[in-house]
Amino acid sequence: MRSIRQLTLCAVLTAMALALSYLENLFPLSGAIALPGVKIGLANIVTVFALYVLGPGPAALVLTARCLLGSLFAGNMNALFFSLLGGFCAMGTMMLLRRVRGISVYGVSIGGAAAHNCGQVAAAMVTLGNSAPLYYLPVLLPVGVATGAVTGLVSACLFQALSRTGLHFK
Amino acid sequence: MSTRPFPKLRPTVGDVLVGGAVLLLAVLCGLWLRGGGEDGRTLSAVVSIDGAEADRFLLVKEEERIYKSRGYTLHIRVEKSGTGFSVAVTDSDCPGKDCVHTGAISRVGQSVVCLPARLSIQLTGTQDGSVDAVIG
Repeated sequence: MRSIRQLTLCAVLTAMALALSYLENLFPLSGAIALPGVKIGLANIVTVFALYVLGPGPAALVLTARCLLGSLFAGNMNALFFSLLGGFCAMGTMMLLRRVRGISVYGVSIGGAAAHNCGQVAAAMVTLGNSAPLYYLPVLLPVGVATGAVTGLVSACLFQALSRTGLHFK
Repeated sequence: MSTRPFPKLRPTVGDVLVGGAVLLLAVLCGLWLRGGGEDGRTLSAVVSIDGAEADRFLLVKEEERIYKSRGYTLHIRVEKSGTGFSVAVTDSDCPGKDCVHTGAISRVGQSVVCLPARLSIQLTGTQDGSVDAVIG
C-alpha cells in the first residue's frame, strides 16, 4: 500500500514538474537576460519537495522521468543531455546542502539553481567541444542565486501550507 | 515514516553564505575569463562548428558573414563599436534565437553560442601583424 501510494505521488509530481516546465516556457526570461538556458526553474520546486518528502531515490526517479518526458514532448532529444546533467548536478548539490545544519530550504534551492547552471554549461561545453559556454557562467551564477531564492520562497510557502496536513519528511 | 524534523523554512545566515559563495565563484570565474587573454591591439574572432575551428578572422572592418551548420543559417555582422569593433549574430533561423538575443561582443574572452547549430564565436586577442592566416 505504501509503495503504491509512493508510486502515485511520484507520478503526480512528474506530471506537475512537466506542467511547471511548460508553464515557464510561456514566460521566458530571455527577454530580460539574453543568455541561453536562463529560466526560473519552477520544476526544481518539485525536486526540492520530492527530496524532502520522498527521499533521494524517488526524487531521482521523478527527475529522470521529467527530463525524459519533457525532451520527448518537446521533440528535442538533444535537450535530454542538458536537462539530465543540470538536473542531477542540482539534486546532488541539494542532497549535500540539506545535510548541513543552519541551511534552510532557501540555501538548498540557491545551491541547486547554481549547480543546475553549472551542469548545463558543462553540457554545452561537451556538446560544442570548446570552452565558449564558460563565458556565460559569471552571469548565469548570480541569476541562479536570484531564481533559487524565488523557488526557495515558493518551496517554503508550500511546506508551510502542508505542515498542517501531517506531512512526513525523509 | 518521519525520520527528520520539519525543514527550516526561514532564511538563515547559512543561506546568505551559500548565496555569497555562489556570487564569489561568479566573480572569480569572470576575473579568470577576463585574464585569460591579453588584450591585443586587434581582436580576432574564432568561429567553431561541431568543436572544430571553421573560421578565424580579424575584426578590422565592418562586414557581414554567413555560416551554415546543421541546417541552420546564421548571419554574423562585424560593426564599429567605440574605438574598436564588435561582432554579433544578427539573424538566425534556429529555434529560440538565443545567439541573436546575446547581442554584440567586443572583449577578449567573450563568446556567442548557438547550441542548435553547434556553432560558437569566441573573441581572442591578437597582436598586430602576428596573424598566421586570415580565412574568408
